[in-house]
Amino acid sequence: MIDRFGRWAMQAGSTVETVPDPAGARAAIARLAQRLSASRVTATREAAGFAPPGALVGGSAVQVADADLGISVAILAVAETGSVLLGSQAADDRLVGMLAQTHAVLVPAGVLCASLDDAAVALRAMAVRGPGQRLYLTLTTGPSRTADIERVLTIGVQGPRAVHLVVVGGGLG
Amino acid sequence: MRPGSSFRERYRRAVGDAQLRRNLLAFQRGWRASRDDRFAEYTGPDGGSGEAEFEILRSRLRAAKDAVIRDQAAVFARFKSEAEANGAVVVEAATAEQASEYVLGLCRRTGSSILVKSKSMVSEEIHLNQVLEAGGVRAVETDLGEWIVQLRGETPSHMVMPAIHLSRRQVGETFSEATGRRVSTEDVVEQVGLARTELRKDFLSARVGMTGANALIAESGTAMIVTNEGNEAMVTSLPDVHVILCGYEKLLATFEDAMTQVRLLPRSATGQAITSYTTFISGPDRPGRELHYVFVDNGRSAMRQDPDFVDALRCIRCAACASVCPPYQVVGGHVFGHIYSGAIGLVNTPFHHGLENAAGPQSLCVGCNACQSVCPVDIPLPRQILDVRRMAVARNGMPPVKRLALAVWRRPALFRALLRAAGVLSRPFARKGLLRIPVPRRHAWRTPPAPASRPARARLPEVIEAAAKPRLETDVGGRTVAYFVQCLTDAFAPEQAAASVALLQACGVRLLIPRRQHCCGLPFIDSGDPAGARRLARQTIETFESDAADWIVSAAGSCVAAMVHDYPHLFASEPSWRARAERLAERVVDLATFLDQVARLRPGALKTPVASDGVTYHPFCQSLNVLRADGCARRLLTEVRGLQLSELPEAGVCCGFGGSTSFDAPEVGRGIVDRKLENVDGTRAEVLVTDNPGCVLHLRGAAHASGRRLRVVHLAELLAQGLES
Ligand code: SF4
Ligand code: SF4
Repeated sequence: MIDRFGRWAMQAGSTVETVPDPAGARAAIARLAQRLSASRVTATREAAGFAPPGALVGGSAVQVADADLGISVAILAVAETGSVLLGSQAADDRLVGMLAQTHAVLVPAGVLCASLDDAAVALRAMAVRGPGQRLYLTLTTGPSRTADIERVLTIGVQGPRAVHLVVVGGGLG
Repeated sequence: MRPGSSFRERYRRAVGDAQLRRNLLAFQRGWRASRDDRFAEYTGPDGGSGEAEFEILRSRLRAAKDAVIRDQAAVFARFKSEAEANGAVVVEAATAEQASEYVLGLCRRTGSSILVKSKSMVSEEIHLNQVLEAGGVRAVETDLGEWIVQLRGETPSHMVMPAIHLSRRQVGETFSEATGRRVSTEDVVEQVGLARTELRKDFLSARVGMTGANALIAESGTAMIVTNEGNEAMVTSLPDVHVILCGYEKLLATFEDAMTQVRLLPRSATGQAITSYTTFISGPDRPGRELHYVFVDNGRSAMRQDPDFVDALRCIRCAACASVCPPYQVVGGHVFGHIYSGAIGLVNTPFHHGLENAAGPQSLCVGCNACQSVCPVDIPLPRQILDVRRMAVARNGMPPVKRLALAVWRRPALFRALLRAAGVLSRPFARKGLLRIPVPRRHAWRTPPAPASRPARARLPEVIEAAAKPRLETDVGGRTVAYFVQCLTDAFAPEQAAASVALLQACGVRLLIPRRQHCCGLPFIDSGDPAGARRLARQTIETFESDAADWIVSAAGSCVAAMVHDYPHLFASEPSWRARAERLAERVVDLATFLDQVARLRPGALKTPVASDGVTYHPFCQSLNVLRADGCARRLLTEVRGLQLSELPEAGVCCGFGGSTSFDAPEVGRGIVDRKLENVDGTRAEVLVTDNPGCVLHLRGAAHASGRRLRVVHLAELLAQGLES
């Protein structure tokens, strides 16, 4: 299933790597930040522990706007489409995947499901009112794109220009 | 579309715009290839893939949508109570004005002088931007394509790709003009980058954001929004107030139904497996935030109550019906539609914007049925367009020439007498079946066919007994076939009739060719005159319904499709005639299907009469999209000994005959036939085979007028020549 997920994710324009454990995830993010020479890094609360030191957590839209790298954690991943489901309960965490130039998403292997039908079941559970309810969820598949001009595919319109998925075999601990 | 211009003006401007045709041709070709690839590579949970899986998916979504349309009140109530429990506000607006006023009220209350918008067709439908502007609120379109057309003072020409009618040069010029800076007219990446920088400040300052919704999931009160650019995330997150403008038809019962839509919508709309963002919003997600739903009726109730049109409410606004449509490629969405473009625009405009705005656009439909074949909810669009045509003709009447022609057509004896006279009079000008007379300039792209000096039926007996030793080995020897000649074949193409009869005789059947037969009524259906159509349909049923024949066979695919698929709708309110029509339909079959599936011609029984390998096949639209007989025709051709068939690119795109459309809107007919003939040129074939008489005459005339040496023949003619050799 991980292979299938990776294949479709790459077809959608994401890059994918697999690491065994949380330490591997931290190292993967560090490598990515270095490769991008990212000076402004932002992370969601769940991802904060994996970000390089000094990363901005809980920033405003103006602060987060066009950060070089944003880091989030997937709630769910769908092999059928190579998508990841994001939906922090804190609204400002959403800015991370929305405004950063490159978006890195940690995908604990345990959240991987086979199909959109499985995703439907999960979405229903997350819609139940109560403390676990998620009011805003986004199934993200690859970078922001448009083909509005002459049907020429162009990456990175308002959202991230690159999406890097880090599948963490043993979960995030 | 520049506001205020009439349909005629827009039509004239569009047909004079070669750039537009080029832009849209490239778009349609690219779209078709991606759409087909995305379905081909998809494997469903049960292992199906390709078009077969498309059929499974669309029947599932269709059923889900139908259930919601049926129980709309209950599903809406469920959605409303769930959404309200999640903290949203749900209001209903009966009219466009009420909906716009509500949105304006939200802007006023929050003191927002700008409203950031993600793409929403409903906001176009209700002219929201104009209302906001009049109220002192600036609407900012943040979807790239929408932003481009907004800067140009236009409306979207396509529901999914609003600016697809423009080239990058035109976009660059628009951007330069709007920003006062020099923006590249070549570099699309630079142009896209401009949207990111220019729109950012609006995102950060607006207090109200507006979007549409692709689905409204009742079980949880959730809006699903499908996008690519990332602007929608900002519109729904950054301002304090988010308002969703939507029609009731977006309701779905469950998340599973929404996922079926996710599998169909991006593949059909943009040729993507899934879009970059599929967002599920169930309620305001932080203190101080507001979420409002405005459900717009604006004619939807009337549509729901009209049995002829209720199916159109299944629409998921994928625009596949525009992306596939041949006349759309010629004139674009500012002409082929009103605000909603493509086939669905021809159908829903009378309900949202009045019949007067649908009358012009509907007249351009060539009835090729391509739209229904790709519609992910299987809406009977071509039939509904004819219903709109009927309404338009009832209100505005028919052009006098057409009325006169149909008055003659309606009367078999007069029709025959006049055409016979024409055949005799025109003999000096007729050569190889074409009439060499000057024709008006608008029509000069097609040399007209010459009327036969002796029509087909005058050459054929009423009964031809079965041959004792038939020429071909088949499964039908000794059985009886009634042959439907077709009025057009009778008057203009007796050689096609002779070929069909020769083939049927070779099969060893007893042939009945009733003298009383005339016309199935299709020209009347196509012209928006169902009463005239019924008259001829009754006559046809009476002539052929006796059970003397096992099958009723015709080489006129258009008429077979009419008898099998249009008669039931034509007689919807006359149950006894409807029953007779349905009984007849059970025995009606087109020639290709008859030879291939019923008679089961043996492979290699015929030998190619064509010396070289230059044959290509254009499937007649109804054979392809309605009768599904194209496979039979193709098999028959490939089984002819020695015949090499070259694949025709874009074979499934119409030839542009379209019954009377190519007379009423000759520029459209010409644009489509040019595309077809250029594709034929690419195959280097010397012979073009197709399987409908009207299309043969149209293609032959256009090939001749353009100076091509192409031979255009009916499938029956090519196969019959194979008998002789
Ligand atoms: S039937 Fe053909 S011409 Fe008419 S709307 Fe559909 S695709 Fe277009
Ligand atoms: S009518 Fe069908 S093809 Fe056209 S936009 Fe609606 S769903 Fe798509």
